[in-house]
Amino acid sequence: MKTYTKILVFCLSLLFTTISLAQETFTVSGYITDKQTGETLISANIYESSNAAGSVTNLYGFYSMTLPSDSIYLSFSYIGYQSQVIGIYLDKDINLDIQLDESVALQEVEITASRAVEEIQERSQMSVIEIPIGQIKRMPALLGEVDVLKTLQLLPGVQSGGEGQSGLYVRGGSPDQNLILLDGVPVYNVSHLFGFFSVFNADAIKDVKLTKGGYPARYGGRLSSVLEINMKEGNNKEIHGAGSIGLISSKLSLEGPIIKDKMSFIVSGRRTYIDLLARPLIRRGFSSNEGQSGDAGYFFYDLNAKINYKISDKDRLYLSAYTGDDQFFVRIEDEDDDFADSVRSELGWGNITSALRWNHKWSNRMFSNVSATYTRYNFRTLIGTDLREFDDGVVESRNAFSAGYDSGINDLALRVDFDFIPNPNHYVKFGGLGMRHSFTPGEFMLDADVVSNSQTVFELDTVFGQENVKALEYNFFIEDDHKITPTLKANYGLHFSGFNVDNTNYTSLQPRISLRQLLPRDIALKASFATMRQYVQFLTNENIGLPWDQWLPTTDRVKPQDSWQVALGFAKTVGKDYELSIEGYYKQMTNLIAYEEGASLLSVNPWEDQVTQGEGKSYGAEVFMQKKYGRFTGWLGYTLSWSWRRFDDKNFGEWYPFKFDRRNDISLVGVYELNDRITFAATWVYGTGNAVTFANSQLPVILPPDNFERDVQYFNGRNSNRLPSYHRLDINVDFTKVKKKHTRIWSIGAYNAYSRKNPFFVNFETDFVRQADGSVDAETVLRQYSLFPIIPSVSYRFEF
Amino acid sequence: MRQSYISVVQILLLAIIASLAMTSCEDALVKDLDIEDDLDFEQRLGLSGTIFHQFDGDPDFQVSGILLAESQSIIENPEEVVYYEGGELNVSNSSGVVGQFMELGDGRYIGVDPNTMLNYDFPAETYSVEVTHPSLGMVSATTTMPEPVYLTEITLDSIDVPESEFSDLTPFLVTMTFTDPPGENFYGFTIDRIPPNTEYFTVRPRLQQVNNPNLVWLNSDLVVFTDEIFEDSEYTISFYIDISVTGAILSDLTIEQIKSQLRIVWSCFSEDRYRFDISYDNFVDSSDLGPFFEPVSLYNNVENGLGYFGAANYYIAEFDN
Repeated sequence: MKTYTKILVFCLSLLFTTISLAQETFTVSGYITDKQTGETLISANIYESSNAAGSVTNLYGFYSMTLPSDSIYLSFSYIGYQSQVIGIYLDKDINLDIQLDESVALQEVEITASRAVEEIQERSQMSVIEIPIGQIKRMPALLGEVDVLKTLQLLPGVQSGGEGQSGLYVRGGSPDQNLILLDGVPVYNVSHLFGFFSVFNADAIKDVKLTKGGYPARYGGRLSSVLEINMKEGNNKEIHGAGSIGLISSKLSLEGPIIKDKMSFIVSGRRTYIDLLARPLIRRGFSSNEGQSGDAGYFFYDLNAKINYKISDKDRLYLSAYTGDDQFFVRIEDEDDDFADSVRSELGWGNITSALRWNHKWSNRMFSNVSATYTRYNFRTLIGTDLREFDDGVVESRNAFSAGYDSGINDLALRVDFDFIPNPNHYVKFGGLGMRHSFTPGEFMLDADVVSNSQTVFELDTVFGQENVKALEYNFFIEDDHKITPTLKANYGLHFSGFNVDNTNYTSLQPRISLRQLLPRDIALKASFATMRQYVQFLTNENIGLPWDQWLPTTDRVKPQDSWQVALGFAKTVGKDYELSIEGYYKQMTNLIAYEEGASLLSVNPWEDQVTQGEGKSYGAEVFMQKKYGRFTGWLGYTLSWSWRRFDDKNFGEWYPFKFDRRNDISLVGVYELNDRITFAATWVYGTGNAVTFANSQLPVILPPDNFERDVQYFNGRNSNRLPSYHRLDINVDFTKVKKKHTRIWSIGAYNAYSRKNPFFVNFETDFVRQADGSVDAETVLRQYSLFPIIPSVSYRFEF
Repeated sequence: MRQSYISVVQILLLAIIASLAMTSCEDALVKDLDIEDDLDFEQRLGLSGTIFHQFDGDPDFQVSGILLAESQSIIENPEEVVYYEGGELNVSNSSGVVGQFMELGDGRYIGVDPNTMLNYDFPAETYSVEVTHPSLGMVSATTTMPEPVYLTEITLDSIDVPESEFSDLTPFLVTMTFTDPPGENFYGFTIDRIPPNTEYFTVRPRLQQVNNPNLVWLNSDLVVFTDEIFEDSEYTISFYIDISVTGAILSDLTIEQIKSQLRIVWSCFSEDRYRFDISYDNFVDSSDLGPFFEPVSLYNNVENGLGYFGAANYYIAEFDN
């Protein structure tokens, strides 16, 4: 704690010393928006060359620059947009809102770790990647279903859990260690259809930003990454729409002004329809025998909606909401005059998030945002049977049983953030958060109704399981993005967090610092150090990840998870089109949570009795080379990494590889615009196989009291085996045609174009083989099951 | 316009059919892996067994036994196991060989003196066993027989519960008290039936699920626990048993009649035996539901081999009258 205090005193001294030196300055501030849609532009650049001063817009498109009184030329730029240069004489504070025009030539086809003017070597922060949504929409996708998270899996340092999975494993962390924010609200389950698709509908999203290390102090609550996804605000000039018809789902979005230039909306919905197509066949199948009927289906849907209102030049309100759900159901009924028998099963999970945000510009140098947010994740399942026997139409006997399970989490939060920009050398952010968590760790519901001789002999209607837990999480932070010298830049700050549960209070002070030193030949040397703490986590089985993985709190028995990460890297713009970054990192994690050996996902025992806490470490290097401009764009990402875990109660207390320890991970992404009508895109990925535990030896042992023989199996060490490596090529061609009233795009593609049999699941199985002499021999084989061969896809999109 | 919508629908349907055809093609989705090299299998000699010290009660309740078998690769047929019948097998302590095990065949050895046919008894001491296999080399294991710990009190009481028409079992409360000696100790017990001698009824006990989180109820109906929460002090365990009776109505029997057919097998285990029991139990559970369970590392204290060598003392405790 003493060290942290010294760091705090040093940072604050540095901050206020420099601020006090600023003299005779005026501020120019305002919002930067898209000229056609009125959407605010996040991370747009502002540069003033005579003072060599620059800044970027914040999450709400607001910027502020304080400069000495003089004639100045301000350059405003944003990737994919035409730059604007405006000359002014700065002799007073000025409000200057800028509208940028989308560039026809570039459009939004580039992926960028920085922005047009602010090249990669200019930023103090490292390990941050932003992806324009236009880029994501052009990438090949499974069944043509555009997916934000699948695109992120193509970046160095980010891995997928397995075939088709949307979970993110960032620098050796697990998926629950990613703070995923939709308009600033945590989303606890990002998967549809057991992870094959993510919950984020690309048509409703404006901006995606992933921070995988070197976290600024404003972030907290997770160990491995922060993924910020911001929804569009809606076109405030005119009504527009977009939609698509795909193999498994269709989407429709509508946006437009409610009050022109002041208030706009966007509504976007998506639903799968395989259930609608298949249900007639399923129903017919169930009703093939007389008296039988049944129904089964699966679907998911998403609905995003947002309204924003510009109350005045100083105040804006945003109200956004998301709801999405997965539903699986089976019902089978069989009845005649004497009896009726029915079986039903339901499975569902889904999120609801909502946020009300108020932006206020206190002065040209001070901006604030206040957010009130709500998020809920719920998983539920139900299985029931009902057998009735009738006597003259009256129920003579009945055996009805049903069992349900419910778990989830919901949060209510209030967050306040301030941006203070005293001069071009400082960008100070400070604020705090209070969040009330309510956990339902697992609740079982049992119902029974037994009737015999027309008399009820047994009734049950009970709920049991683990008690709901309420907890309060809070944090405060302050950070400064500080240009110390023309070549040295730093982002430093402190994050203080606390968690109160069951009369136990945990607190943590987390220092953060990122440094950038410009070297000769425009090479930037970057370094960062960050500590993080996590108070909520989900408990998952390493073998199989399911939607019923439970989100659980820190308790008096289960301690909060901590990590620290150090990273060192180089960044450079090569030529005018390429950016290269190389980063190495080391991350140490403590109090990680895992099931004890032999513990079951299906157990009704208290979860705290089934878990163990241990430590983890991961280290590696990432290379990211990208081409940002021209007809051909894309990137090469390579990750060399190691990730380890150690628990006292697992693997005899020895370190073992994390299941997603992946030595080599390569991704190649290319998008080529042949002309205005045809665009080709391809991705190729390669990854070392996941670590798995295979028993390799078997032998009989004897056990008292009877000393009978039992067969047992041993393995060399936990996760000491590897599945075959994973590689896959996806391709896609977009055919675009601009018509009088709308634009239509046909997308034709193939997932796993060369039909590689990638491992999804492996299992030891016994085959019985008939020999030449007629005898039958048993052979044990390790059989690999793949999920997807080549999957062709076609989709039709339209925009108006 | 209408024609183009029809085309869209036709293309979509064709794509759906093509996708379903591809995904349902088993050859495209399944293959056998050649993993013999990746498994990193190294054949070793397996040794398993427990030596006993019975410090009270009926003799010969449990017999010290050891099994020797060569481990096989997981892909071999487990029915073709090769037992090792290597002749002499000795258990030693600091003073030398203390027990020569009798070979029964199929790799099985029991701690019986061939001359007297009496069980070897292994009082508190550290014991080791060594076996040399001609191709797999020497394997050895060591274990420590714990000091006996006596139950100072053991009671059985009926409890008042409403009758249930769904169960003919009646619960009883058992309490056992003992004093934990210094050091780390490992205990176990099970409830057992004394066969009726002249009585006209038969009492059958069954342990109820143990709710005490410090007790581990193994699949073998053995309850095991450590002294972690009561180290070096007196401790009382309470648990419920269900009792059913044949040949009589339970409510007609006195508590003394019930006690006369019940006994507790009370054990103190070596750490090796305790750890193997726990890991074996987890292993059995994890075999049932595959991916829903965490993989289990089986305990192994055999140098250069696989298996376990443990020790346990036990006695048969009858209920206090």
